[in-house]
Amino acid sequence: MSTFNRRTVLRGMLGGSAISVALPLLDCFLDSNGDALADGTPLPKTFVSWFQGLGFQPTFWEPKTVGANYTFGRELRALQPIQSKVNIVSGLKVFVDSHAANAHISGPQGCLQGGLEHPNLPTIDQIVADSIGTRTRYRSIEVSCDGSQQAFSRRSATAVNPGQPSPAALYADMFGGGFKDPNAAEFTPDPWTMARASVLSGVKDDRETYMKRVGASDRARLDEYFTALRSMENNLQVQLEKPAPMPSCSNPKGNSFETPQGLLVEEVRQTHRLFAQLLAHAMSCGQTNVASVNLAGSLSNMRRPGAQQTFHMYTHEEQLDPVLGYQKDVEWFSNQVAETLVEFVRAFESIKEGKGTLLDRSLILYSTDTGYSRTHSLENLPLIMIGNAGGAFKTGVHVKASGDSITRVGLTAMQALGVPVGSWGVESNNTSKTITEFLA
Amino acid sequence: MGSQNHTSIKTVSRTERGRQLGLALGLGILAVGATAPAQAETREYMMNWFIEASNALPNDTDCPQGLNGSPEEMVTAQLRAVGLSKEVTENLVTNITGGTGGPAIQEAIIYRGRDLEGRPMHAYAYPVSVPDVKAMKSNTGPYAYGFNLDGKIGPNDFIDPDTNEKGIDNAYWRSSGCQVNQRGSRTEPPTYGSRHWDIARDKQAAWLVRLEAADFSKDGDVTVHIFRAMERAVRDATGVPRRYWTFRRDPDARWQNTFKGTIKNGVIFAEGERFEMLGDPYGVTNLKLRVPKFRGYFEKDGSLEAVLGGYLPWKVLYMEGSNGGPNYEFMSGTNIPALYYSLKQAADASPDPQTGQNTEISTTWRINAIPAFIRESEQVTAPANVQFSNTSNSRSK
Amino acid sequence: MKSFRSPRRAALLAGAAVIAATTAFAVANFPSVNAAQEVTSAAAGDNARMRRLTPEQYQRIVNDVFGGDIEIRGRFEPIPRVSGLLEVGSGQVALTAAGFRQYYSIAQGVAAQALDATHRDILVPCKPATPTGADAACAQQFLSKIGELLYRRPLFPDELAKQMDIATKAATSMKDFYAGLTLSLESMLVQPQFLYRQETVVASKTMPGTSELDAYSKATRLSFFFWDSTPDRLLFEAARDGSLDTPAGLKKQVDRLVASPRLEDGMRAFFTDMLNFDQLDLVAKDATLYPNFTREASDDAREQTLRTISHHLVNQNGDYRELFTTRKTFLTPMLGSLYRVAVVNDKPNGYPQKWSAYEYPEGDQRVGILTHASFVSLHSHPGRTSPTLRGKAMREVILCQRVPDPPPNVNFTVLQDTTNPLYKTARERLNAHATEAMCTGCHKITDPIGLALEHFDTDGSYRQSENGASIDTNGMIDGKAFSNSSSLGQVVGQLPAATSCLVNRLTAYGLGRDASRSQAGWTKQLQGSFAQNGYRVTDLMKTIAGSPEFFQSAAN
Repeated sequence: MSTFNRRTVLRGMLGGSAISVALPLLDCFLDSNGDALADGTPLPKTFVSWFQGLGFQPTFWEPKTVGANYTFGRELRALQPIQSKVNIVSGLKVFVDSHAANAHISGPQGCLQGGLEHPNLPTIDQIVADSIGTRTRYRSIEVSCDGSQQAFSRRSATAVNPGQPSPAALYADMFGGGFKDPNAAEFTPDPWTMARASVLSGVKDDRETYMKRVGASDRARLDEYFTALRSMENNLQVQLEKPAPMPSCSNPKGNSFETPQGLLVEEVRQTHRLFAQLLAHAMSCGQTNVASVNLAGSLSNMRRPGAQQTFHMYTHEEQLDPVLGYQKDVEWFSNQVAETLVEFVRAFESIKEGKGTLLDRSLILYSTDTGYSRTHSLENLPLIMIGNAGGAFKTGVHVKASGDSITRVGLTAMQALGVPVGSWGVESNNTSKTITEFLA
Repeated sequence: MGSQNHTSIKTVSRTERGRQLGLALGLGILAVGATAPAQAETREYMMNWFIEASNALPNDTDCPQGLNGSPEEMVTAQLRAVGLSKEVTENLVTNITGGTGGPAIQEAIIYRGRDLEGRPMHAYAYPVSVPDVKAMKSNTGPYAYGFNLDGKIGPNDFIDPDTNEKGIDNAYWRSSGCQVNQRGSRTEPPTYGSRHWDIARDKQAAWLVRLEAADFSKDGDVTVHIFRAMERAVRDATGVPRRYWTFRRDPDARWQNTFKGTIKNGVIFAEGERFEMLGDPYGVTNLKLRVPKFRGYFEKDGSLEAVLGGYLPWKVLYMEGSNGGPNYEFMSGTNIPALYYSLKQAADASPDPQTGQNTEISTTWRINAIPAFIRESEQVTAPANVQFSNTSNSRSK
Repeated sequence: MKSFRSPRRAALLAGAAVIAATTAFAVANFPSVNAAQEVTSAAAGDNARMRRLTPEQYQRIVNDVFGGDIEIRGRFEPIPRVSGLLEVGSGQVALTAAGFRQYYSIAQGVAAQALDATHRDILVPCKPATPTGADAACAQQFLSKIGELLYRRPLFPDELAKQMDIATKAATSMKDFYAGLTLSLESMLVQPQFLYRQETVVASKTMPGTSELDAYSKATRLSFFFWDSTPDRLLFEAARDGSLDTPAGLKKQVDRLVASPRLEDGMRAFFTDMLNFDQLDLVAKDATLYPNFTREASDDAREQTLRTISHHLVNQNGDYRELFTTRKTFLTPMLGSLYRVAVVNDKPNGYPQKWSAYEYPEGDQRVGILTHASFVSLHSHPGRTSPTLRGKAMREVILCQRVPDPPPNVNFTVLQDTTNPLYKTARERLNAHATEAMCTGCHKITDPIGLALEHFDTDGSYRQSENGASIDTNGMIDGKAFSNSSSLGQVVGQLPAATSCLVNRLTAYGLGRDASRSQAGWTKQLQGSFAQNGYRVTDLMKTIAGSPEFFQSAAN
């Protein structure tokens, strides 16, 4: 394509007609590391917001030491084998200000929307999708593992994303007839992007006219303006080119994605396993770069085989073990949640890309609604980030950030994923402090 | 509470109160009941907590038969008692807790009562349609917070852990003191009550406490006013209600409660004619206490810690539970028909002249109140000496 | 042209009013700036500085032009503070690639809203021949009118032609007239003519031999100085018909700008800038120690001070010096709980107006804006006060004096440990710290005045003592003694530096740069007239805007 005058080509193609470019996928496109194309373009970053309510029990999940090489508390011990990939923050809270506090509502609002009772605030995954989800077939995907359609994802009060409860339905939609193979030759660019690229290109061409109209001292600054504009124009041009081939893409056909819909922990986990597999394939095939996973909601109704109580009821009803100092049945559920999270990570690790795995370019954010399920406290919420975010993160670090707003985590995640945002959150949950200890 | 101590409210209150009084006189308005110009000092509070005065003993020694089991166990016992098979019962109980049971299963649980012909009856509206299988275990401990309301020392009475007084009437604790979700202490409030109030406090008008005495640092007379505000409480950065918020007293006569008494060694003892909390202060539509008694302690952090006792029609407490229906049963671990039998048996005052069945039950409630400002609701503007007007109002954020 | 914020209907009507008001500009009328002047400006205008719009100005312009219900979705790249003002920084700041991306994303949001089904019929003064294709005549009507409001002058022919070209091509290829307008509009919103306040310099008509701003640039400078927004129709007219270039015409416009309720917007914008109140967004306190200091409380604290200033200077046309001694202010219940005073809000629950006028009693320490939570919390640490930061802020912000930065390698331990039983108060800790010779000099400049505010804790609440020890608020500034925050306010207000600082800041705010060396005589003159007029800030603004120097380029 570089032999054409790009502007001329684009101006002729404003209608959004398909550009057919013969670009067969060849191994030689990968550079020596295998995680980027030979021309140096890295594979896109991906983001998963993974939610399960009711948190963990304080003093039983936090690592005792800060920094690297920490050991998880007993509730999170399942994560120990993948510790080197896991960043964890303790001591963060949701500021309530003068709003009514209800952990099941306020917790997710604080973690994912950055503020309480501002229904129009978008959730992190949607902000991230605006940045890294614009060129994929699905801007974002939301799934729910407990049979409900609840997903903790919204663009605004009136655009709340429902969760897909059925792995089979997601499979059919994504890898069925409509599957867009990233390694296929056909590509249709977005007409608005084409038009914008053309418009900015036109503005750039008038640079000399602008320069004549300002004083000498302003010319240097106008020069900087045009540099910034050119960068934006390049960004648009990239979006008009056929996306990079996805070397590890494969269609997981042949597997059954039927799942027993139910609220027994094992049923929820089985649904989750299928979704984890599907999402890993979806991301390795460039179908989406952003997903939200709801395991079993905030008022979690997961049940243990043979027991009558649900997870949520145990948190309210079960007495503290007088010797151990925690709720024993609740801990059983906590361990299940931790194991499930590890399964999700393993699904991403199973996709090999060059020398690494899909996890290396991903960021998986675990969030929850409370720091202490028994009291539904909004203090000391456990927050976990897994994966390197495409090299933006170093991993395996525990940070104790006592008293700060939970929004520090969301802000850090967004910046790691390349969202241009300097501060995030509203009212007392506003912050411009990233967790610098995680940054590579 | 760090930088906040109680001493300063005294000074502020005095000035503010003088101003308030001056304005009230100037406008020809005198507040009903709550304003007593003869009092030299006033302390004003907003009720941070109002929950049952729970006193669970370590290792549950006050519940030797054990705590009341899970709601499933109790419902199972009742379903079996009305003749349902083991399989049907198990299916019902499993599915209602799982939340996927649907209306049919909900209905089976609700209509688990039986009339004389064996037809289903609403178990909450007609608790006697469910056999009394003695599903609730009573509290047999020696200690409970409260007051000697009847002046006697009876076999079912407790000893108050604060005062060591004998003859404490708190039959509600006898009835419900072994419910898992009512187990708590002075420092660790019971789960259900604290959660309920924490939510209610955000959604209803605040309740206020005003103390009046000549000098709080000395022994002497004291008056305690408890009434409702026009505003709700607002939370601070740590999620608890803000101190020193300004509330207006709701002048409605139904909200006014007055206790007269003394301060002795820094502790307030006061008694009232009646006590009423209308609205929905505790899931109880109309909390009316007969022969109410009040005991209050000034805490170091500036708050007021108090217990409030009195007789309450036990059916009011039953209504609180029965309103909740199956959700309440399964969320709170309270079996509603069993609660009915338990309260009825524990009731200890005001026998019905016909049947001899007691209609009231002795109760004790715990109050924690934090410093606040209280103004009369007629006092709607800034202090009268301010002559300038607010012209910037179009730019409220 | 009022700034409507809500409700939606009023907002739409406001947008409509703008369009209706500007239909007077016939398309054929442009350009009033001809090519000859253009060349002149390029040759002579070396000193006109482009100023990038601040986020507040951007928001206000968008609401003024398109209606109050248009949301700004996104954040702007920050502007640095130069010579104590963002407004000066805005004349020097560059634009990064990420910053451009933010502007572009915001512009797309604004354009999409302005031309959505709800707004297009109100904002576009004509109907296209067909909605599924280009209509050059209708596009031109919209683009020339909106363009004039956005670029703050009529569009040059080539500029309009370019915007028309975008609209036509895009409408044709996308088969949607409004998509064409949307693309054209969003591109205008990221062009330098909109993002930067560009000023054109021409030969002066009043002071031969010098150069000055052309009429449209004058109108823009005036409008931003008084209203912090884009010129309205009457100001445009005065620029177009040349009357703004005459002393009488200028006076007429200045009087009108000052008489408008929008003066309050301008006054607030200036003091927000001068008092560094943009930084209040970043202030946080330790929640355990200061649970009453929430974001809402700090927002209210900023608003309290701005209301106090606006009421005193605009509504009362009061003496600037009294801002440091006034007992009158405005409070909310939120601030009442912070200050521990009763503030009754008698409005229905949820009613947005929550402010009450309040006057502190005689003898109270809370006197003047320096004792407000806004000032004392901004210049404090998260967990303790800082007499040094407060003193430094008084020197730099209020008196325009420069305090040197601390030298490197200083041991701050003794200052930070508020639990040391040897040093209970900040004064004691500072005394222990400032025994180090290299520190003493600066601390003598800052600490005495800062210590006078020690009764106000880091969250702005009042404290009688610190760690049980009484607080000594006595001190001296420039040879004048004070005993507490109240007499400090008296003394500070009377310092010549306080009033001359205001003159310098206000001048720099209007010019977008510090007054040039050759304008020293002018600023001195302004200080004299400020004193003569009883230190009334609105009069000072009129005097500034009425001077030819206000429109001079810095070369003069």
